Amino acid sequence: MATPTTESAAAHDEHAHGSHGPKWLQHHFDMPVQQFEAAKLGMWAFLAQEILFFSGLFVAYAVIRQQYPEAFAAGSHQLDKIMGGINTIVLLFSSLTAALSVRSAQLGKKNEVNLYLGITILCAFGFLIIKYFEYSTKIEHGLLPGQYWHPHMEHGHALFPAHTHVFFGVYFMLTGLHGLHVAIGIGILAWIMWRNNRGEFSKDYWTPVDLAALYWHLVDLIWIYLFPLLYLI
Amino acid sequence: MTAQAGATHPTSHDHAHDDADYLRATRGFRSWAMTLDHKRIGIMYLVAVLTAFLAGGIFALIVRTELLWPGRTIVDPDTYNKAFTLHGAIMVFLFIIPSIPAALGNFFLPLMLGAKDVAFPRLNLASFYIYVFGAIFALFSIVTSAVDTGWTFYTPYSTQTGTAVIAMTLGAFILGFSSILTGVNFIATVHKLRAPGLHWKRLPLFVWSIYATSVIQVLATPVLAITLLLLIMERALTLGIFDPRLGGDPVLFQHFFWFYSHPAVYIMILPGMAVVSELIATFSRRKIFGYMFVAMSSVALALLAFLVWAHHMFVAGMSEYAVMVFSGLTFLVAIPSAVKVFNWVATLYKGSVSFESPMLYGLAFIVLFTVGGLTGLPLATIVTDVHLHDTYYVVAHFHYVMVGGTVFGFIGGLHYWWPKMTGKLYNERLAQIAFALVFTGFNVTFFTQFLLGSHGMPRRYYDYLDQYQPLHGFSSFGSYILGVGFVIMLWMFVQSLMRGAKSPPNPWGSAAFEWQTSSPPIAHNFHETPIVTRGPYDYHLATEEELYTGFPEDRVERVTAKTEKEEG
Amino acid sequence: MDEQEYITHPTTQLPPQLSTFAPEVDWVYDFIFWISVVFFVGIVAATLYFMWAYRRRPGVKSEPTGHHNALELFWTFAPLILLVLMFHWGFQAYMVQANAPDDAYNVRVRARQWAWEFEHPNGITEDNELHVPAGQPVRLIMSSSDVLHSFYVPDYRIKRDAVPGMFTSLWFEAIERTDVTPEGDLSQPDARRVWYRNQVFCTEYCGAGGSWGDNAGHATMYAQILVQRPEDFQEFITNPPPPMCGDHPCTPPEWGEQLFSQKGCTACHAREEGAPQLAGPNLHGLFGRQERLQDGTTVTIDDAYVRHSILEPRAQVVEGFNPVMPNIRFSEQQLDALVTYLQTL
Repeated sequence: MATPTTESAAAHDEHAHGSHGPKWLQHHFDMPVQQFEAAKLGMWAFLAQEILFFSGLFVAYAVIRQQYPEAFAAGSHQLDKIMGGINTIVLLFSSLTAALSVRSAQLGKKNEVNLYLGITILCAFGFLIIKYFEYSTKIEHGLLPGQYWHPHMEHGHALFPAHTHVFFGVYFMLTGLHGLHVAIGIGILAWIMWRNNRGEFSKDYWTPVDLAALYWHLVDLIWIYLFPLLYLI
Repeated sequence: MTAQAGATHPTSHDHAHDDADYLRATRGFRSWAMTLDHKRIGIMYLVAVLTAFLAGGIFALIVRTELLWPGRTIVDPDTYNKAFTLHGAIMVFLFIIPSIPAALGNFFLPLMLGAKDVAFPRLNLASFYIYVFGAIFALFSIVTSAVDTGWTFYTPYSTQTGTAVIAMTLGAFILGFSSILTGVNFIATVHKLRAPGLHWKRLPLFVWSIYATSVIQVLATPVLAITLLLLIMERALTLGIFDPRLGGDPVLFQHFFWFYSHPAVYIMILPGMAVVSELIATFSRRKIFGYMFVAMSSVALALLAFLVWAHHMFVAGMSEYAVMVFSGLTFLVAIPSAVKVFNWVATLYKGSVSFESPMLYGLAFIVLFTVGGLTGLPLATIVTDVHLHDTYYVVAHFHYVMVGGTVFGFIGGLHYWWPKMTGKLYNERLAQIAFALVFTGFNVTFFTQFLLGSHGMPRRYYDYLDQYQPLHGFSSFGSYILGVGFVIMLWMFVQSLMRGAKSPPNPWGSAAFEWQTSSPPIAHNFHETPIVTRGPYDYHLATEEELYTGFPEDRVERVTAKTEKEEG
Repeated sequence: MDEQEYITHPTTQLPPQLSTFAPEVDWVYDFIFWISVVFFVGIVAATLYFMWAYRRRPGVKSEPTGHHNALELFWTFAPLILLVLMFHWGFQAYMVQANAPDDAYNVRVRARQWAWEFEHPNGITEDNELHVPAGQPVRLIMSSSDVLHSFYVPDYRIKRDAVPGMFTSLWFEAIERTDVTPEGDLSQPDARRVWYRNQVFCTEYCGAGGSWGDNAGHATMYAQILVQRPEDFQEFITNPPPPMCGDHPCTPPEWGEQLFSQKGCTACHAREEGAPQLAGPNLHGLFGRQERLQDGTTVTIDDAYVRHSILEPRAQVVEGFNPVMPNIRFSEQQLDALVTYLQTL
């Protein structure tokens, strides 16, 4: 591995660092701007993929809502608009701090990057905690999909239109998958924070912060659609 | 690549010290398992997809053998249903989709672009391991109770059957992400890593097609992912979205499934076309006729792919108007497909055509793809589709496109680039014998099925009426010829690996870029960043040295001797 | 349509034309087929000629490729005309199939794993057989009680999926054949007289029942359409004849045996001692047997249990089996015959 003639491609990275430009420039790129643009383009392609991933669920939502409009109205009525609203604000705010962390990174302010990333992560945890309370209420009341559907409310028995359980099937799929993206986002942001602490980023190199923030904006964007579609109908 | 002397790129640096080719640059298991070299990752994919091809082929032979006679021949109905399901699922998800893009594409896309690697080498390695991980799930499904739903996983059968549907769909779900990440990687690579001078109009057609494929992979595969996830959840948690017993809509599943799986057809065929464009150009020594039309037809196919999914559902209970719209849109697909065929044929005109084994596959592709395309017309026409839908006619049609198209393209590409990948020559005579058997066996197997289908033989049948026996028997007989052909081909490649002669850098005398580096290429592809001064098919601009021919050696000697005699 | 000529034997490519739709469908098929032949021959001939004429020869170089935009545009857009024609004729013929005439005879079709049940407007039901009058439109309104099925009659060129949770429909008109004459005394209506038969396939994959038996699931989900002269059909529908076993009216056990296979029971229940395990219990020596049920109780199999298990199949399932048996409709007489038959096993 050590001698030049037998170095692996992995080892070559390190070799390349010394010979053509800054440490973070990978060996197969000629110029920093090329690496940045490639990374950014790749991320946008990935985000397009994410949107199409969720789009399937949105189509399912539209088709089934059109089939059972009363069931959707009744199901939506059971959701907590206050909690959903708070969560919307929490996520919007976290998107702002994510954007600010990118700006700080561009300016090379390492500590500010940490601060803003930290706030973003806290907001993400806040979102998940609120979501946890919402989920436990639904589970307690038996507002569950398919064969687990057994509604029982505190104030007398609630009468639901047929197939209201399908609404909750869609609800749990959409919010569950979104919640999973939030959880993954926490991991990514924490990783970026760790790299920031190691001093990997500078005025010249802040691509990973930018990409992580892009991902976080997407998570926010999806929620912006989920909230009215599920809570406000 | 015309790496002109003295015209080195300003930022390129000296690589004179690592001249060893990518196979010998490093040794040991770790140097492969953890490699970031796109060429090694391509080779690992190649081994993986060929293994899948073998497994899928064995299931195909089980199916064809069972169908030799009506009633029970070798297996019971349950086993038969699992055999055709696994044949389909393995061939589609584990073999065809990754075959050309992930194996050959990984190896050659950066070479053709004059790049040192793909844009995201770590992501590339991750894609491979995601593929392996998905394959393990599929294997787990097979060894537990397998799947008997057909590769389409139609609900509600797939939510009710007792077989291991979740493991298989989870496997396909994971394989989908491997495919998506490869697509993301290639898109960024084509946009950002082209060598200086390699503008869009100079891109090899292979790159154009792989690029179009990548766009579909990124945009269509996530829809399959969510569909399979919903199916898994439907089985695990009874969601009620697809299951009619819970108020769901089974036709919605079909819409979802085909929204991916029709574009997936183009994920499969576009790379086949990609390879054939290269083969036709190289072995005619001529630039592809109507280059921009061929390139744009790839892009057009990629776009149209998203608009025609419901032609799989003409009899599934859609409204007449939806049927009309999707029939009309489907016909549009014929246009870019025909444009490609016409241009390939026109390329031969005034060329200098030679008939080595890769070219035989290329020419066979044109013929078989034409049959596959033309037999698509009665399936796009509503009233004839009603008769032919879900019969052997459809089976024959898509095998002509998938096998006669994609697999022939893949095998042709494998022959063509084998010397570049391994640095070894192979036995041309054996290769041609294998070709003859594969071509004959394929046509005997599948042309027969057009007749079976148009006479009304439904697909996925374990048993059949006596009247269909002669055609079924003939078709099975063809499948054995096909099998023998592939075995000979395997033997031929193994032989080449064991004791094949060393290949010169450019054995076919191609002007394409990937042949301008050594065979096999060095670990970083090029000694210096190449500067491109001509197109990949500009034979009139290539120097004699670039077009050096050395394969097979006896032919070169013969040609040289003959030339000397004529001149003398 | 009276003037229409029908080809009533299979041709090289297509089955006989036995519905009023068939000739038009075949005409569109042939039109596409011959266009395809012209294109295929043209492409292959050009390829072969170029292969020969421009084969590699020493000293002969390839000529650089020029631009021929006019040619490119020609072969991009000229085929569109043919495609539009195909689309138009295909759609026009389809619209005829999509809209049943108002006077069509309505039959309800219920598909299940793995049998077809037909119900006439007057309540008469048939299993895997459907009597229809020749020369009159018949409309099928289809549903499925379990998974997807698809109703396909090659001789009629019709196909439509039966989808659980919704109704789908199709229609056809079986032709009055001139090449085959019904047998017997045609002046007297005969409910049993069949003019000709047409095979029905299930073309949407719907699973299998385990080991090979009379009923292999999807692959043997056959039915037959029995076309009758209108007057014979009228007789059939007003005075349905008793079931026949061979040349005599069935005895109850014989009828029971017939029903057992018609209703598709054979897919899941073996009747021979030591036969391979299927999805449901082996019925050999059924009566008097002690069985443990899923709820842990033990029952002795008798008339009451068998009857109950047929009518409510998922209520008392024997231990070790999944509750997968469908609800199958029987008349009282059919049920009696079936139970009598099962006692003989």
